[in-house]
Amino acid sequence: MNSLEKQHLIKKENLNKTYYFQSILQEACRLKLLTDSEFENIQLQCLQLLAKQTERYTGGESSSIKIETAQNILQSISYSIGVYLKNTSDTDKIVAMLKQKPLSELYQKGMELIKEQLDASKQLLHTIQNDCIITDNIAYNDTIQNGISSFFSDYDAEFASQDSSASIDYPICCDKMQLTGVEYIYDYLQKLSLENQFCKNFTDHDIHCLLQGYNDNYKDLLINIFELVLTNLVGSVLTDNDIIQLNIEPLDRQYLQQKLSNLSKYELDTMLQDASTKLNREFNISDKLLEEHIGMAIPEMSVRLRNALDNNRLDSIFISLKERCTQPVFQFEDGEKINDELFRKITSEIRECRYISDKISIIKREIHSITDLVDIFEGYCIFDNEFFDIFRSFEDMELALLLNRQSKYSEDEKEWHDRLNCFFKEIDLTRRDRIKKLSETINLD
Amino acid sequence: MDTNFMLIPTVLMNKLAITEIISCNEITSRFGLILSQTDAKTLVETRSEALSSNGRIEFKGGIINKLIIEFCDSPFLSQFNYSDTLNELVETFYYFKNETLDEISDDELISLMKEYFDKNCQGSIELLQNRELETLAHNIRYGISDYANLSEDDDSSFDEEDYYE
Repeated sequence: MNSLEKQHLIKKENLNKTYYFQSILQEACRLKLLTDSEFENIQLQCLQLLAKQTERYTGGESSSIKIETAQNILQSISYSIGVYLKNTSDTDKIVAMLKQKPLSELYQKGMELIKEQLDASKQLLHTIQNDCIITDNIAYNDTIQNGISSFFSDYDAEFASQDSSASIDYPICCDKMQLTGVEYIYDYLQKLSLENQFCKNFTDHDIHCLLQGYNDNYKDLLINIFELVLTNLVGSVLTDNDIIQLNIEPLDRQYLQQKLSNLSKYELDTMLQDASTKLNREFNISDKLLEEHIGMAIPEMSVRLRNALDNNRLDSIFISLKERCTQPVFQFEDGEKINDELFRKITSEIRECRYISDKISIIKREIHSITDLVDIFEGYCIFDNEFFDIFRSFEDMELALLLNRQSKYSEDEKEWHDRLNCFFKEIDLTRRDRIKKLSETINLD
Repeated sequence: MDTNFMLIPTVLMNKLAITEIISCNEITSRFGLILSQTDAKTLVETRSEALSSNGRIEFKGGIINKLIIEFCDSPFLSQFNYSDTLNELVETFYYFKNETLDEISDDELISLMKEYFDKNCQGSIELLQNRELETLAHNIRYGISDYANLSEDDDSSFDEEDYYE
């Protein structure tokens, strides 16, 4: 039997989560739940609170402050009151509370809640720091180990409680960006903790292989690990295999492409919801919050999946695990760099040469390091098609070194970069591939 | 979303301020300085304008009173220029609250203004605004510890243009 739910005059969905207190007042005025005099009374109390807080802010030394500062303090007061009001789910009761209770009391209670949340967040961060996923993802590690801690040292609960300045690079799944201040940090940490808890069902090695499968450069990417794990697991459930596993084989992907591509949006959504329910059962997930978090990730997953199915690119969604990629085979040690004076002498000598063959012989005789060679290329002594003649005179290893260096500084757009690209277009395919592979195995650092 | 839903009941605050200003006459009359009801009203208006043009907000009055009490014994004030000078001083005060980045308290700024007005400026409000207080604000902005010392031969003072070079 369906249960009856009380309908409130102020709809929660009409309220702004960032400016909760203000939006409650606005809605209450709009729906005539507050009379003009009641609203004025609340305004006056706000003003009194602002005056009191301003005096605390200036330490009683200044009777006036900049309007921007006053606005921030007022925001902070409204935020604190909002934090307390959010605790009451019945919006009608909130209006009654605003009419009956003095605003300073609501503010004080809000401040207490903020302090409680602040302590809880610190505790949560401490737990996360000691029990996080071991991964090379820089954003993940930086955010947990350094980024969030700065929030606690900078947070000003009294005069700027709405600010949430922290260096958070790691994207969380279903991030509630409309929250601010300590509420945001608490929500972020809570979700991060849930995600870690879920990912802990797998070894760090498995997660590493999954991320490696997603992208070889996963270290530098801003990706959500939980989302990748969850998506692959949902994929695994959908393959109807007996065992749910993290890996999705190419054959599984083919099967999924056939199975899912003709489904309507509703059917796909339902199928994903069912798969996530099965997943919860299989992994014995009893934590309601985690269950909710998984549920919230599904709609977004459905959109991405639909897009991938339409473009026949399921491999970007359901990933095959990949072992650690092979490390570069060659550690290149650059030759000794010549001094500036000699370098100037050589460049002017090259510039004076009439024939390219002379230029090449000088380069081969005098230049013994890749850095110097690149400097020569960028030193306005080789012109136009001469580059091709020089490249032609090089062995595969030298070209591979140049290619490696060019890919590292690709944003510089030097002339020799273009010439090298043109040269590679001209040489035969097998040699080009050989040089490309060789360049990938060289470590220039 | 409109977050500035609060309006300040200025009428009430202004009335209170006028009464406070008039009450200062008891003290200033000893120096032959008296403000009429109209003068007081003008002063309050000047304060509101100065606050708004300098982007500031004030919750409790008292600045005008403090200025009156501080400046009433100045040898450069007479009934003839009293009201005009006070209006100028009110404007100057709020302008330099901003210029000094709120680094010094109301009382300190007022007492420095009085000191410069009587000594360095010999009662010239133009000199006070454009020379002394500008130098003071400059010193504060550049973190000079002895900011109130405005003597020109001081080694620690330097040109702003040099600073940017």
